[in-house]
Amino acid sequence: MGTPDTAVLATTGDPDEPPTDAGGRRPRMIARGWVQAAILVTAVGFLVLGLLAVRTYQAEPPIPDRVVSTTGEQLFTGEDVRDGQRAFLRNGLMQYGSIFGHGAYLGPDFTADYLHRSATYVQKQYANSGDGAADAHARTVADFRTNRYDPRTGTLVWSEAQAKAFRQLTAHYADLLGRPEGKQGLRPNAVTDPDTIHDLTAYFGWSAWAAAAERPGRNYSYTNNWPAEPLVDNAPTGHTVTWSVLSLVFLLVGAGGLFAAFGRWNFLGWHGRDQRLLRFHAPRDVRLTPAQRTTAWFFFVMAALFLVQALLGAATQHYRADLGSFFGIPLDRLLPYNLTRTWHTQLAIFWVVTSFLAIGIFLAPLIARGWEPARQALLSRLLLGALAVVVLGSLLGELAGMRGWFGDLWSWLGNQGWEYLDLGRLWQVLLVAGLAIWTAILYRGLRRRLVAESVANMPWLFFLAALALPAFYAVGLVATPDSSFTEADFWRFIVVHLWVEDFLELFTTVTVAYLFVLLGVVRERVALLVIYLDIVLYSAGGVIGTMHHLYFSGEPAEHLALGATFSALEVVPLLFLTVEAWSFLQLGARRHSPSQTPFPHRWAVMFLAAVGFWNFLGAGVFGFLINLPIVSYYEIGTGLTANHAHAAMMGVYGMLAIGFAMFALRYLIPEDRWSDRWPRLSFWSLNLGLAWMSFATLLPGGALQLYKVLDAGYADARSLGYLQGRANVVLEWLRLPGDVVFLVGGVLPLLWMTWLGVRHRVKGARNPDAPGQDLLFTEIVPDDTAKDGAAAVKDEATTARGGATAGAEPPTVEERP
Amino acid sequence: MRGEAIFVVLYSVALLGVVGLLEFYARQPTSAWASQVFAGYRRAVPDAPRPAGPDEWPHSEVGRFHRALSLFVAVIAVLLVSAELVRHHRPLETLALVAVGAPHAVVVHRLQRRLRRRTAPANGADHGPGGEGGAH
Ligand code: HEM
Ligand SMILES: [Fe+2]
Repeated sequence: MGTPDTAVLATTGDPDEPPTDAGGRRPRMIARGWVQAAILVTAVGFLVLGLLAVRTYQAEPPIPDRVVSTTGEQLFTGEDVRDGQRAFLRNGLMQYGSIFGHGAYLGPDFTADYLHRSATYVQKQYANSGDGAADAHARTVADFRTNRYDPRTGTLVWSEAQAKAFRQLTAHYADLLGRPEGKQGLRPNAVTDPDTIHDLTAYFGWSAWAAAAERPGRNYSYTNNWPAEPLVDNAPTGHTVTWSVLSLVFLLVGAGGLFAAFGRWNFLGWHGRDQRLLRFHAPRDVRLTPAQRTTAWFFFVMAALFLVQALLGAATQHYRADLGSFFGIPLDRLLPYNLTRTWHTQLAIFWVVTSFLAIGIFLAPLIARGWEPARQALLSRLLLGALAVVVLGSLLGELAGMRGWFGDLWSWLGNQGWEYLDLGRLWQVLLVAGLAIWTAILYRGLRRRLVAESVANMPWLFFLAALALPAFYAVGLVATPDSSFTEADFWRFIVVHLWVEDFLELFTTVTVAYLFVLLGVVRERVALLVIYLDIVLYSAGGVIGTMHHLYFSGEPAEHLALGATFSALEVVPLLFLTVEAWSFLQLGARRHSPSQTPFPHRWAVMFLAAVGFWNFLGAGVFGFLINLPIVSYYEIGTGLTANHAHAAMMGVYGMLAIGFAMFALRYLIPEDRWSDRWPRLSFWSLNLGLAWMSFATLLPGGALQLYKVLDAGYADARSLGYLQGRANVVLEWLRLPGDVVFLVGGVLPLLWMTWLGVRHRVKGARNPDAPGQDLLFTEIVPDDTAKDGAAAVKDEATTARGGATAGAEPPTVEERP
Repeated sequence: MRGEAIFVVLYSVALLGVVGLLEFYARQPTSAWASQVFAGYRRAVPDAPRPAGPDEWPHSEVGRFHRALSLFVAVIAVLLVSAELVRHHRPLETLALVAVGAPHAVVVHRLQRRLRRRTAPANGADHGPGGEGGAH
């Protein structure tokens, strides 16, 4: 990681305003070692990821051309399996149950369910057969584990007993998925067409085959023996155990190493002398640009989407507590579970992204020191309109697609159906385009600053971090309903995981660091060091760590090994950054603020502190809790995943999105309309409501379900029968008070505040021709402030720093004796 | 004792641990200059600034934040234990449930009094952040 000491030395002197180089650019403000380390770590990570992508295609479970019984009767073809997958996705079944543990948690895991049911039938047939009854178990195991797929002929042979089980299970799934009275989370008569049922059963049967049949040359199945199923001798493999232990060691060594290094060297170059005295501009004195004013609408839309998303969550949750009806209303006719869950998860992404788009637009003029190109506001209004079209279009498309209203165009206009990438392809392309337009808007707004800066400096990092969002969302386009499950899952998690565990963390760090720089409370150089440290730390574990989602989805064992070790390293920055987060907040903290203007962002900072807390608990602790392969083997797709997902997604990115809103609203809402009452209420309600959700229901429910997996097997623990059992239902109801607090005390006040932002949005925009300046604070020469706070204010408007004239004035660095 | 009651007892004990950890965090100094992590650095920099006091914003909020969470966790435990007492109450079960519920009840009682006391002085206005940089 370079030599940190030189990193600090290299930038001593005049930290914020080094002279421009020959090309008129402000040179790099950080030692080259940091930049090299960041690029190297990221590049190596993606190189390995590339190799793992190749291995995915080489080693995924094959789809046979035809599956026949020993008598030569054809049970189903490869095309049936593929059609089955398409039907699975089209009907939104991945948001009802799961395959290889991936999907929703109300319905069964169809892989484990098929495997368990068919193995039970097979064993029963052998036990009743008279002749070999004694070794019924051994014969069942042989039927399922022996790999009778011949790649040359493309033919897979199933035993007569397995063929019988297949026919029985076709009837079973016809009943489960096409129940006329509903009451199991799907629409009544959701899937009734016999051909479709046959294909779906073929798909489930194929996945169950891959889960038990041994890989050629190995003594474990394509899914590393997942799920646990004693009937076919499926138990954790040596790899699963070994790499669990090794990944723990990795974590301890990584964390210890970092803390030791951090204690020894002053990585970040913090020292007490480098402190400015400054005066925060009161929000009413900060004039916004036209584009900044449009963000009021973004934040209002964000809060509205958040409300809908949370309400849909409540409806989704209700199915777990009471499948029969929604307090007497047959909700499953209108809004079945798989639809509410699709909307709930899609909207979670949408509302968070809305806030990110808005803060980008809001920050660009601040970074450009007040400059804004013409028509920027128009573009940002268009962007919001486009976003509204995509959100509404995709959600309605999902409803219509699941009901089959689009015919053959279902995957284009309706729903592609891969969990988290549910939206139709058209909407997906439009969303990528919208994000790309957003980066174009940012580029326009920043370009004067960008041309005057080294690519390694903060304005560029901000822009590049923003660019990563559309780039990695676009990767999701690789997964289509025609991809095999293993391939699709690989690309799906490149999006899901790399977004939340790498590039969003990065965007977060850059944005938050920049907020503090713009507020004048953190030195640009310090912020830059934090950002590079974050890139190195997050990328070291996070990139290859993507594989922790793919232990059992048909990938070879190396994905499991690498995924386990590197994702364990992801916890290191989370441990470290909780310490850092508070330090960061306090870097700006000054006991004797010389200014009469108070720090205006109390509540934005509180939400950022909550981000730090939930990053530690929700992502770090609850994430690592389910991260070891041996734990994941039993746990995947159960309540503990939901526990982690909620605490991490809402706790980190939800709180962050709201923190951004608080920051901007402080300027958008006129001073006389602003009240601390609403953000305080919202802050406490959201945090306590989320904690309640986790500790009252998700954590204990997950733990109980995990116990059930160990006790009675995975298929059983995932069955509706278990979920509707008394013990689980009591826990499901127990979260109600917390959810009410969250919704009423948390979301509604936020919606109200964002409405105030729209309704009373400050009038009068900044004159685009006004000289560039730091908009949010003014530096004060300290000696004079001791006598008179107003005297000797060095208004930076007059220094016109940044741009080609940078370095005209040295900064005022207070040297305390 | 039936399985469900055993589970609730064990989980409540675990929640007691969570309450303890949150309380531990509530008391940790969050000032960078007081943190263990910076020990080596503090040795290297003899004139490092004085750590921020626990009642300076935003550090003043650390304690309150963790305590409020811990209060809620304890409330959850009390609720869980009560619900379980209604469902399962053979003598041994009752004994065990009351035994783990009682400490949580004490925590609830003490924490809510403490938090009330702390909230009383008006905290509404925007305070300037206090912190390291002050005179020393
Ligand atoms: C802010 C950061 C994070 C967010 C927002 C987040 C979010 C999520 C979500 C939404 C899921 C569910 C995926 C699904 O349903 O298939 C998930 C799964 C998972 N997460 Fe995270 N996560 C974060 C960080 C972490 C970290 C740091 C770790 C551990 C080192 C971790 C480990 C896991 C594992 C192992 C799963 C798979 C569980 C399963 O498929 O059953 N996560 N995460
Ligand atoms: Fe992940």
